[in-house]
Amino acid sequence: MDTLHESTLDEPVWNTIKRDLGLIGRRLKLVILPKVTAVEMQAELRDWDLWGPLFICMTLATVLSVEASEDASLIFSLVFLIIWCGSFIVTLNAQLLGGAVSFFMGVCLLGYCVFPLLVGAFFCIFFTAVLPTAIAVILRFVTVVLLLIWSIMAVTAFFADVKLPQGRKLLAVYPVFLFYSGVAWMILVGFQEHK
Amino acid sequence: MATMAANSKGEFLEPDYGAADTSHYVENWDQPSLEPSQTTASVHLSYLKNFFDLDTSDFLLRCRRALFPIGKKILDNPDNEEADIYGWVWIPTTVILVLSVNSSLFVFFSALFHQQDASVSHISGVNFRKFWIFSVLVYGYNIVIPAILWGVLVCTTSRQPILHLFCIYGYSCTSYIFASLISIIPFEVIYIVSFVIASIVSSITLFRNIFSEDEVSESTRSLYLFKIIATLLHVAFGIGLLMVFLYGT
Repeated sequence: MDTLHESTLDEPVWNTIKRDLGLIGRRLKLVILPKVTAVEMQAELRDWDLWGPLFICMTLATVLSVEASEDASLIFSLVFLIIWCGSFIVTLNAQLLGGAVSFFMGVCLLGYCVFPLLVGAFFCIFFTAVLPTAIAVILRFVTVVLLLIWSIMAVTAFFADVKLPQGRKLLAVYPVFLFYSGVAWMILVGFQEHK
Repeated sequence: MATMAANSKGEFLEPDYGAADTSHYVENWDQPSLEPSQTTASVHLSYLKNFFDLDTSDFLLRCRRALFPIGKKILDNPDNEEADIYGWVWIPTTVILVLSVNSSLFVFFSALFHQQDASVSHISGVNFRKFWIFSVLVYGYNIVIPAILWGVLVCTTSRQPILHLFCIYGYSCTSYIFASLISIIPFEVIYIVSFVIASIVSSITLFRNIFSEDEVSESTRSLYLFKIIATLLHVAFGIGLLMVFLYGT
């Protein structure tokens, strides 16, 4: 064990970064393809990390605040706050319903599953910039709804391994649905103030 | 007895205090007193878990009974008669979120339908101000009024458990979820009517369920009076929601 620690301390920084990026990438792949075997998911859930959720949350907050027409820093901190507080409340709810999920495990899971919505935010920017407004609005709406469903499916698949007592899965997933719908609404509508 | 002594060189020695009485000292005072597996947080959590002890079928059954107040009472299920806090947390939250989203969508759709803005792009950004107003109204009402009611009832012969009151107030908001879903339709008549119906249903639910089964007798005038007052307040709450939806900036 000591030699293992020593080897990771002495390794070049690039190796550490590459390893962490690989970890994030692996988890993102799990989120994008939610129908994986249960064993893999249990292993992923136990080794929570907060780099991925932080990266996703910061990117989303940046995208939304760039799109905003006023007070970008307020929007940035607001999105940050909403995502982390929302994750905390939803995880607390799952714990109270009897799920065997620790706080950081839940926050990690919910942070990673925001990734499809982040992709939706990029699509929204692209549509608004390239297409005429009427088509852009419709496409934005359709895209965000589809990606919202994708996010919720990913969370539902992970929640199957949280070891909730029988017959409570819907109770635990419903707040997730509310939370992600709120985030999707922020992405869809943006923060522009039209005069 | 402390004595100051000077040795032959004239330096002062430390006074001799004698042996201290350490029998009242706490041993291991610097070690955490709880076992490692049982921190303060997990004790609080396991206490709160008692209030979330329900299945999906229980929750849906209670919501259905809240929507159709003629029939069994909300908590009248032989399998699970325990009051829960899950409904009190998430049903008002749903109402707030749906109303905030729909209030901005309402402006958008009414502009679209009434041809004021032919272009589809005039949808204003997320309106947090209305969200805050709704949050304060709904959460404030659902926290303050049951607490006041419980405080008042404690002084009377009827002792209602405070959990029961919070639970009933939470579930009585179920009909407002449907009214707020209907409020996306931009025609004022439709959603005013739906809000009025939701207020009536919600108030009847509250009226029927507000006292738990071990109520002595409802013929006591003061208790009946409290029931009437609570129901009227609930109707006012529904009208308040409608006003904020229509006229909140």
